[in-house]
Amino acid sequence: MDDQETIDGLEIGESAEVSPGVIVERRCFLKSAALALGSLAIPGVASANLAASNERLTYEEFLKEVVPVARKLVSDISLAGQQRYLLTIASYAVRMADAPVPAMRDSGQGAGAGTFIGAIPGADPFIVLHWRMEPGSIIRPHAHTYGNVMTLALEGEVRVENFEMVGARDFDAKGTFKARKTQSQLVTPGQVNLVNLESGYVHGFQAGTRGGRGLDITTRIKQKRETTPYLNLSKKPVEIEPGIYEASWTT
Amino acid sequence: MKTIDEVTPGFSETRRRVLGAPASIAAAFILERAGVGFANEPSQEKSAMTELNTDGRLDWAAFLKQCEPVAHELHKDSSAAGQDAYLHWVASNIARARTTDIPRAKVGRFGAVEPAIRFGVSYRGQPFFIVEWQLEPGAFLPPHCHPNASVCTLGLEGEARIRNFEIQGEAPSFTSRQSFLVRETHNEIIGPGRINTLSAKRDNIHTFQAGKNGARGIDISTYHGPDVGFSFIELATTPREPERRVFEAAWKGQSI
Repeated sequence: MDDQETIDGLEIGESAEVSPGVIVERRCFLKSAALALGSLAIPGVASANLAASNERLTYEEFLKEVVPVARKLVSDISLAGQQRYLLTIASYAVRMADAPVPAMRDSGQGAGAGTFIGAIPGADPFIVLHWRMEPGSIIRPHAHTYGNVMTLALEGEVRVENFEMVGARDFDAKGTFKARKTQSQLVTPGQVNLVNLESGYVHGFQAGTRGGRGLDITTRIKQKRETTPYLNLSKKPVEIEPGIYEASWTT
Repeated sequence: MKTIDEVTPGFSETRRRVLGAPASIAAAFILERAGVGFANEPSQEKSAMTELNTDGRLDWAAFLKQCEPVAHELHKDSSAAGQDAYLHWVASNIARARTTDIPRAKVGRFGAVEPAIRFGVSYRGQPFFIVEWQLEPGAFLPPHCHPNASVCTLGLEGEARIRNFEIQGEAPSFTSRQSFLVRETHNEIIGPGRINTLSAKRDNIHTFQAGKNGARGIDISTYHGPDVGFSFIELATTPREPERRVFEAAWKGQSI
């Protein structure tokens, strides 16, 4: 069962983990909305061509446009295949004006309070998480082990950092290892950050003085892992260039 | 007949007349070659879902056939979102091109910079052209801007650190030596298969610092407005506002 089916299958009041550390609770209004939008996401139905338009897409139009394409591209899970998939979604997403704001709960990923998340109706093959961060709040760096992510900022300003292990990935590594910061990016409305499971697969967020809000479009392409590895980092890099830190996993 | 064009900051190319054919002819040729007439606009959806090579990778001809017609359409929207849609489309296609099939440029050395930097144009089409860059180990290409242009950078060999900046408030004209403020918006590693983009509306200043093994890659460059030149930038080594990564900067002209 995929994540969207998991969400759709929940009874009202029931909850499930749909992304690392993210628990979604079924609320009444979500199901009817999901069913309504689901009818739009049928391959071949999407036919609008907004390529040359400077008009912005509604969230529903975005889904209608992107879902058939995403379904076609999702099967190639190589580094290049994921790049193609994520960047193609990004090409549509940046034309989106905004997205519905669901009821949100504590993200469970924060270093302290002030980070919130909730699911909005997406469609196979991805789920869409809407997040909000209060000014100065932090989402701890965590690994994506089974789902790649396209983050789209909608409001405010957030610095996103991506990391990966030096050498082969090992999410069960005990003790310390070296991790590399591959990206430090300021994301503002309309900008995207990508988490490819083959590269930069750890991400963490720090909101600016105005806070931030955005979407994580998450696509599960590997077997789900029960626990989310969080990355503990040395305060300073052990090698300034190329940005290598001493690190360890925690849950 | 030959003309001299500046194709990337500080780098000029000798271009033969045949390549200077009107854009409309080039576009017509591309659309015709892709089997797409003007009455039948290229669809991003159809193009994204088309497999032109059985291994999922694109050879050079397939890349152009897949990428250019839709890029041509997306290029018409020069808003911030339009440029990003365009850039991500181009990036999604070059990400799956077979790197060995990307045309190699005849590169030339850039100035007297040590360690050496080399550039060359490897492809000229519509709406984009491609510049190959080669950085010797430790080479540093100073910060510079790309007014009215977008760039999709793809790493091919080795590694380099790319940093992007945006001007905060107003900047003086290129001829002024008056200081202004820039904010660091990206600081990332570029290597094989990794991509960095800038548009005319965001992250428009970039700088490269090669790693210990040097680096090679391509810049897919596109104008979204008139070519108004560029300038290298003198950048303070320490930020004026560390928390916001804001630095003092000044234009320093087109030579380094």
